[in-house]
Amino acid sequence: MYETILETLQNLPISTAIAEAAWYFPWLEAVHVIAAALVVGVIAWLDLRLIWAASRERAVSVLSAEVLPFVWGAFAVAFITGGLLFLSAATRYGTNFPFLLKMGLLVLAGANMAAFHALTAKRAHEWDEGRPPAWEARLAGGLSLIFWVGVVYCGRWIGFS
Amino acid sequence: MLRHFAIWLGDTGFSEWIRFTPGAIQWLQTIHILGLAALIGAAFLLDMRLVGAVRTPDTAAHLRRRFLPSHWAGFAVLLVSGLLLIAGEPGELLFNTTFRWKIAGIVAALVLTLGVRAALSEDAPLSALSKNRRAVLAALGAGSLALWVAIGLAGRFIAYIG
Repeated sequence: MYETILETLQNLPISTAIAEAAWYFPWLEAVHVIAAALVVGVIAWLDLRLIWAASRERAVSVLSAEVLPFVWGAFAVAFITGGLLFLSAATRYGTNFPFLLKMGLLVLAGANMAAFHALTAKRAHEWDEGRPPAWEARLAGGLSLIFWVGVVYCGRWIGFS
Repeated sequence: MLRHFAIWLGDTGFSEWIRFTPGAIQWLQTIHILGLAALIGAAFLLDMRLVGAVRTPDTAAHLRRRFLPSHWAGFAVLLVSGLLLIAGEPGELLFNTTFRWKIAGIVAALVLTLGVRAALSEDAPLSALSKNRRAVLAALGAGSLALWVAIGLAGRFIAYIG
């Protein structure tokens, strides 16, 4: 069932076009790496503030409003380019351990962010400015950094596997 | 001259250690991308302010103190990991045309970043700076960001264009 879905995706006209054209894949890959670097490089500002390691003079709410729109924008580009790269060799990536681990880490990063906004951020007024965030917020920031470094590592690992 | 250097470097024990240690190139490339992330994240957040896409009450000098240290830290990580990658695969990199363009781009981007640093000296908000100064900052910011993105793209294309 899973393999049939992967084969169907890989045989879509857009998938074969990417796989067969000389320059689609390199361009998609290069843009994917830049967008992913931007996601990690911008979200790290918020994560480092949450673990009380940087930007201490700035309220968490202010910093979130500054960085998150760019994180989402860059993530959208990384998601689209990554999805197109996946389609070009779905049967290979769909059974590739580093790729599956990368997807797992992305889900964990998303769940961590959702849990932070749904639970921890509701009490943010208590530690938003001028003091170390609550332990739950620091945990969310630390986990986010670990998950995103893992995503980058797995991205490179895919290329060597 | 360069060819002799590449052959000598490639034959050193250190180069062989990088090349043949399982996972070493993979980890170095990961660290290289994380350095790029730190640099490009700081450059993006700063340059969005310099080109006027994000309004900020911060003074020019404060923007310099806030964003440039992360920019330089990212560059230091890029430089060290990049030198180790060259040491591991000197023959593949030093004679690669795309790699040479990447190095030229880095030199140009560093010059523009130093220009941004010099232009962000005043203790006044960007909106209080003269029109000419704001135009120069916007041009430097846009140019520097475009170059760092191009350098990142070139990094990937090294694998495809010799």
